Amino acid sequence: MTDRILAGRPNPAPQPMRSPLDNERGIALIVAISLLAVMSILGVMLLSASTSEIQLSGNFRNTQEAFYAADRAVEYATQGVAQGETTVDLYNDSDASAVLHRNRVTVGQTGLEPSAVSTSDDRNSVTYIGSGPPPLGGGSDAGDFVAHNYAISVVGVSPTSSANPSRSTLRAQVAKIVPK
Amino acid sequence: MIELLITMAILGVVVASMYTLYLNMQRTTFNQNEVVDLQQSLRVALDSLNRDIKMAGFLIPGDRTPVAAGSDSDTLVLEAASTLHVFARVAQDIEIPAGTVDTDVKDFIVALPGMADPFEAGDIIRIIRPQNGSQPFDADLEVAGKNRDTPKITVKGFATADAVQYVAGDMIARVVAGAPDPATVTWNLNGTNLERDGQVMATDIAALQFTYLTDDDANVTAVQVTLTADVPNQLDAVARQRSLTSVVRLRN
Repeated sequence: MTDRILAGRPNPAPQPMRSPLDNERGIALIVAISLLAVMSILGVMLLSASTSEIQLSGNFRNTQEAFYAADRAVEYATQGVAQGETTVDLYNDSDASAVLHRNRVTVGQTGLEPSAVSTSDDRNSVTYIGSGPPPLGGGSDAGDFVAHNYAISVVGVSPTSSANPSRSTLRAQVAKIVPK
Repeated sequence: MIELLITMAILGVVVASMYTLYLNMQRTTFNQNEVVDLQQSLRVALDSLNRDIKMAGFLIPGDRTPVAAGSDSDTLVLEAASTLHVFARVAQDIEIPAGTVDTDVKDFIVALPGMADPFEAGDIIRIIRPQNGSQPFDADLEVAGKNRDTPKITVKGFATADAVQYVAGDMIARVVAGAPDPATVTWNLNGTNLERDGQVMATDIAALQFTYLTDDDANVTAVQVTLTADVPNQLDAVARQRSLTSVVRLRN
């Protein structure tokens, strides 16, 4: 049987060796991966651009918040701290109800920069400069009243949890008119 | 053969649409970059303007106003002791004796080393009493030197027949030589440029609007600024505008 069949067919011509280039299997994967790569590069470029923009506006917002924290502290110091003839450290000292001044100013992630008042560092301080006559035109009789002058210096930061937050420094001088 | 043709045709359509998409995306990216750049420069300019408004009226005499004459809806003229925002606080009383001449130097002890730092020999200064904005010696003075360890600023230019008394708390303000006293700073629009005393702070500005918020006595208490700009170099020739507004309270 076998012989007959073999006899009925000529021997197949020897096939040439198939080149690997003729093999189309897997081309879809390669095309898909290359397209994915191109798309990914475009996506990453867009993402990095928008990330840096978000950081820019985030920094801007932090600057604003640091400024408002400092502004708040100046207002607080003017109203509640500037009295007597002493220097007050707003970061380390407490008010009459034993609450740290800095905690009165802190709101959320914005507050005062950690500091300690010294002769070369006036961050977060209310300094008594001296007394003098009340400002002219203020309506206070210089015979009965005296002006206590204070220098206020505060540094607001935002966010307080960051190692490198935005800072805003404000200085103000205020006079309190008190009876002699 | 036919399948090759069909494949080529489909591929052509796909590639063409992808290329269009890519071109569109690139155009949008470019346009949006310009928008972002413009917004950024608007923000910087407005920040600088806000700073001037916050400092307006600082250490000026009681009979002057922070918002000076000449201010209207498109020009803002502000008065302050220093347009350079450089100040130091005198920490010790000092008397300039009668008969002091122009070349005599006087040491002013200042409160902190950091306060002496921004002053350099040759700078022009004025010394002002913050309680009423008056100047015990009403003329330009010159910095002769400084020492950050003491810390002190050495001043010359007192040509006075009468003694002049300075007290702790008086403020040294750096001013521009020959500038009017108190110093003024003018913000206005020159063509499409936003200018601060003639110096360009932002370009491509379409409109600048100042609105003054006043109290019952018609004293200005705050200034509202609206800055509108045209985005330049738009590839699709669409007119895009960006606008920033801020209200700043006068603090002095």
